[in-house]
Amino acid sequence: MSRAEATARLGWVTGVIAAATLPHLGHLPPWVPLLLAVCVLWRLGVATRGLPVPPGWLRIALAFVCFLGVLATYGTINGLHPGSALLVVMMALKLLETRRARDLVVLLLIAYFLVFAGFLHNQSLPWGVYLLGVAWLTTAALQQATRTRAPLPAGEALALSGRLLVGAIPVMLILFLLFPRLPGPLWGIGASPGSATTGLSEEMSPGDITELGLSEELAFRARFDGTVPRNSELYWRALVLDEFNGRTWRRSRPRSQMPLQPEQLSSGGQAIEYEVVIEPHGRHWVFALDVPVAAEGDEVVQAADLRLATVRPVNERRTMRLTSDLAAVADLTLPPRDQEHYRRLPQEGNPRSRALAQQLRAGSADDAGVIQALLSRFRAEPFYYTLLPPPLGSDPVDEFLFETREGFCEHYASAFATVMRAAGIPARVVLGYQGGEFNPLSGYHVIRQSDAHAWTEVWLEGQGWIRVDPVAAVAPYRVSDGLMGALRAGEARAGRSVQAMQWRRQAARVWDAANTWWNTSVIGYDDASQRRLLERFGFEGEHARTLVILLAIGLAASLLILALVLARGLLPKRRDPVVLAWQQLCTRLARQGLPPQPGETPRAFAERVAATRPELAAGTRALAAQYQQLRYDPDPAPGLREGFISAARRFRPHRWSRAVR
Amino acid sequence: MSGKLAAAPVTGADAARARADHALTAAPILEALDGIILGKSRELRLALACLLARGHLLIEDLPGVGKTTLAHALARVLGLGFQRIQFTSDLLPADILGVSVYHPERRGFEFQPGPIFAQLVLADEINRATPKTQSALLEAMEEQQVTADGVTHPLPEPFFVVATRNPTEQTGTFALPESQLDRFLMQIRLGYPDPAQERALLTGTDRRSLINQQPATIDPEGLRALQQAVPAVHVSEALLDYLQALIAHSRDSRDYVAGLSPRGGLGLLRAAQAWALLHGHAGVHPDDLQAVLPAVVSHRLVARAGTGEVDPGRALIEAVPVP
Repeated sequence: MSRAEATARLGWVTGVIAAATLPHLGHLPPWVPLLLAVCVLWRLGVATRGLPVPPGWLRIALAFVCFLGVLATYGTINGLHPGSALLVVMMALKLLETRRARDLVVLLLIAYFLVFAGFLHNQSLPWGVYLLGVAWLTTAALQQATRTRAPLPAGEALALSGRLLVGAIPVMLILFLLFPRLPGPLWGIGASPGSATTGLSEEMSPGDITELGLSEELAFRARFDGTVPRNSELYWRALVLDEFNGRTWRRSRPRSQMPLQPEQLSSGGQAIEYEVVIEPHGRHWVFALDVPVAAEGDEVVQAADLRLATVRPVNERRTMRLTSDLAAVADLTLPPRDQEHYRRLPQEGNPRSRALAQQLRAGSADDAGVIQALLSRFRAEPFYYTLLPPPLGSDPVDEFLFETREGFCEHYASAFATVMRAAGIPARVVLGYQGGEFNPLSGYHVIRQSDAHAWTEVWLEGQGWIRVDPVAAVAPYRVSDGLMGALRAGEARAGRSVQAMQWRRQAARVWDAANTWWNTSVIGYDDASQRRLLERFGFEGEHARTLVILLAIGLAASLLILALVLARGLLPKRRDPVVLAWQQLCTRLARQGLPPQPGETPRAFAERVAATRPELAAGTRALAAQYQQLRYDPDPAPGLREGFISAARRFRPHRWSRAVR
Repeated sequence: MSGKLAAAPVTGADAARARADHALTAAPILEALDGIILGKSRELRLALACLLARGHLLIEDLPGVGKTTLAHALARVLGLGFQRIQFTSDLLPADILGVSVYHPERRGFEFQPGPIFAQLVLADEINRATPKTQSALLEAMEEQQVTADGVTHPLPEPFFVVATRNPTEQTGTFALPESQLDRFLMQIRLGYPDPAQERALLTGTDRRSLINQQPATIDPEGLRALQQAVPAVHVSEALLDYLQALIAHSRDSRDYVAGLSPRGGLGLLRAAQAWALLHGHAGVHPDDLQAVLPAVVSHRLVARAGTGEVDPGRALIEAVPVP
């Protein structure tokens, strides 16, 4: 191997090392990439500038120190983060002692490992594409490193390894579809609980949701089986806040953990079945359409305040099948103790609101009248919906209702519920999401953090809990068109042409559809989807047994097809009937103990046959001459071809020999 | 496919007639040669095929087996101008190529062509000369011209070099490097005659006088027509497959130090075409290829040490099946 070739191979390998380490950079302590960079530069210096290779004792000492370094950084060497750090460190040190192709192969195998580990950190579509590219590059480098001849140009090397990967696709698909799946999420290994907590929080005080208002981050996706409700009906319930301290709404622990009693719910006859795919948020919340009535599986439970919750926190993307009834009625009768709970306010604070409540109560015949009166007040007075409300002081409800009159959904919900309670009507605040953007490409509704919303529920005698969204009174577009609709047109679209917006919107839809497919069909392909797939093809009965048999058949079949495709390039083309006839003739002679020798021309073969079997001399000589004429001469005489084929087929050496005997 | 190789488009009937003509033209040449050099019919045909394929011939053998006689006989039979250059260790390039001489009466230099300016040059014992002189000859062979003092002098047409070399075991020789050997289309050995031919040689007329009596059997036009007919001999796909399989095996096999060069492969095809022409075949047959193959590859393929040291051409033929 020449020096230039060795350097070229080293270049490939260092490129792969850099590409495979990149996904881990964010998770590694800074000294690890630094060590890797130093080792890469040193090794390149050895190759091009004649730097000395570090002696063996130094390499061993370095390895020991680095091992201790990883142990000191993480306190353990188990787990995804210490494991990938250790891999990178090993790779850096191994690079220092590479001499032969074998050493490069070891490095490239570590690189493959890092690619896998990269998937454990992040399974999103862009990373998937990137890591696939790295795997391709690694395969090309492996091919270059183990090549006995000079390395190929980069383009050819990538084309060759690309063909290898394409050839591996059938095997990959079979393994993906049929390899037994662990019932739990394998990908969840790396995620630490609470690492993904963007989104709602368990309590609400003025200003909380504002931070979410501008976040385009995905909260969850939903797909309806049948009819899709109108956007104004899409109230996704997440949690219910029932305690108020004058400023902050909270969840009272014991009450919210009581399970739902079946008699609490009465059907409204508008059942809707759908699927939600929830992005990891580290909590137990499930986003269900109001009012959820059933959930598939035993992973989701329903609490007395109607919200759904998971048993385990949602630390990985999770798909759930739910049923909601848009017209269901909850708690037709509410025990007096509970009514009291939902009317409770702090002893002091917000006096003007309390006064307002008494005033409304006095001017209305019943509870419904009070509600209407307050909503009319929101409509009639100059209340504004804005993302940038002024800060509020110690009596936030009073200040909002009587002074600033500018706020976000949480201000309205908080104020509304407070006044209702002050007027003696049981009321609570519900946090969740409202609306969502339908993506026609994937068939899913996409609900983002900017769709986060707060509304209220009031309890009326004989009607149960009724949803009242005060924002709908102030900014009806917020409910029908989403947040962007509620803001003034100039605020959202400043400096952007309508067409550019549409393009952006379309691109975002395509991207979202691709992500949806990736998340639900690739990452989300689990034990249950595997069973469903097999059942669709009529495989029932013992799952594991079916899998093993199908896996074996599938792998054998795909390898056989691959072998046939490869062999087709190696085998000579045998389609020409002339050649076929001659080969059959040779086979017949071979059975008589006269096989053609390798490198023997037809004429020479005929001469040899003539010498050992004089009675066949005339036939074989004539046929060999005709065959060579047909094969090698220009413009054979008309009829020669057909004549030869039939004569060769009729040629029977054994009949002649028997006759002679 | 054959259109690429054909010199001119001809119809089937024309081609058949031309083929028969060529074979008829070649027959008396071979007959005359056989009359002078006894029992070497195969080698004579190879030498003629080499000439028709516009290649150069290298004869490697011991002194006195008839190398010079063969070259001389070829020249006489084909009616070619003949020059013999005896290579010695003190031979200089100018001794071969020629030299510019000052003519006082004309007040200028004039190129005095060397012995290489002949249609058939016998370079005898080429491995006795220094590499510098050897390469002067080989360059002239390759380029078909001689450049002296900035003036280019074309060599005569046809131009055919028969070089002889003693087996390198003999003392006082300079081995030809492989790159130079590749410029010879064929290398043949003559070998000792068999007893009957030896007896005929001992009792018959002196060969030299036979050669001197021999009239030319072909005119320069006829010879040129034969040479031009060689690349037009039909080559089928099947034969090209076979040729490429042979070349590929020579490159992939571990039995050889290096495989056949593209020039070697093309030379093999031309030689086989010339052989087919001499034998009146309409297309090149595997037999034609196999007939010339040992001579074409024997100086090109070097068997790797420890592989039995068999004739590399024979081994190659036996290793590759005829498709």
